[in-house]
Amino acid sequence: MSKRRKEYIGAQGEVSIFRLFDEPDLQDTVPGTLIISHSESGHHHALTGGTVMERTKDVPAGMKIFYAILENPERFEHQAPHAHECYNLTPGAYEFRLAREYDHFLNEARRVQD
Amino acid sequence: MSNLEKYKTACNYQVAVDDTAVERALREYVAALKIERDVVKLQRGWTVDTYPALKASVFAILRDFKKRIGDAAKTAPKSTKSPQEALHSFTQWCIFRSGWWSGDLSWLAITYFGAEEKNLPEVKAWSKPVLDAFLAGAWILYWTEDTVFWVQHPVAKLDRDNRLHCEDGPALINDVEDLYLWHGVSVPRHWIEDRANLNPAEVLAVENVEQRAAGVAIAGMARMQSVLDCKVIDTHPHPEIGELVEVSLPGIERPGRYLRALCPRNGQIFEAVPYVSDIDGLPIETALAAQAWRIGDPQSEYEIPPRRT
Repeated sequence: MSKRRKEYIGAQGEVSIFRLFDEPDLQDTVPGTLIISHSESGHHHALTGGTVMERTKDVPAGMKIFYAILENPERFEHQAPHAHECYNLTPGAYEFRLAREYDHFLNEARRVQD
Repeated sequence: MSNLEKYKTACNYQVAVDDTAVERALREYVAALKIERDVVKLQRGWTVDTYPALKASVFAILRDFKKRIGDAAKTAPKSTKSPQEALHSFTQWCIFRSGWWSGDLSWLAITYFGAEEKNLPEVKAWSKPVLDAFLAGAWILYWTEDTVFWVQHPVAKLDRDNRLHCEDGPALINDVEDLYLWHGVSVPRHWIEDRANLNPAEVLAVENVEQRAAGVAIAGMARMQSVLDCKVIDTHPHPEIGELVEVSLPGIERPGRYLRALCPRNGQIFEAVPYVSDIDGLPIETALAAQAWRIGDPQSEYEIPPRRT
């Protein structure tokens, strides 16, 4: 069992997906949308259903962290031609972490943009 | 061949353009809308001075912009283009960035099939001429006060996965603005047309990872490494974890560290990482440590994802 109380399901592009063994603490969160990772080119990474909350506290610079509670089986899809393969998720609680990268020219971290 | 089969063929831009048939259909469309417009084909090599109606339309949009943004115009960044080039680029933008009533006519033309299915004569009255214009080779419409301009179907060059792609020229040749794409990813013209002189530092500075991966592929890894003085710090046996490399960047004193790894979709990715992780305060000396920083994990807790897509 992971000491972090979660299981790494996999990564879809810049999004890492974890299954949580316990309900997440939603105290420092705000409502999110089913689009977990927004793309300017419209190639969003999105859930087909569920309740999504975005963590607002203790989020590393440049990253975004979301929690999703799925009542039903849902898919996590990449909405693009020749997309990253999708994940079929069973009901439960999940954490989605959006990867970051460093900008050597600005000396700051920023979200990876797909 | 049914209209639907013809439509599918036209969606792949595989029809001979019939200017006379397009203009006849568009005049019927204008009449069905009960308005008056001249119908004019935008010819390759155009400038705004070629078409006074187009120029008047674009200047009206510019006046509207100026009115809406007020004093912000005074502090806007100056374009590096000449006024004539800037006006031409803006006009191209206006033609491409249009709504459902113009843009790619395949969107509007498909209305006809719904109208036929539902037997809606009033909708068929205007949508049939639109379909006819599309099937005869019209691609984009641009409406002005007194003219509807039309642009003929582009020539699309595709890779074997049907993505727009061309390694030595535009992938979408069209009479508004030729577009350059690398396996479906839009890239600047000079990356393709002046590929031999593509500056690897420019590629690494691009924010969008899809574009950056395309730039790395266009320049070629060998060139990226030789030009940028790339030094491998650590190599992980799993190619999706990749390598930690150090790259000398123009204008930056200390070499930048990058994670170079294989993405199942995008190919080789090149993502910058700092020297020290802000999560556990440890130096990032391995590809695994770089992967951990990337998703905000302490190095000691990072696990390799069981699946990566």
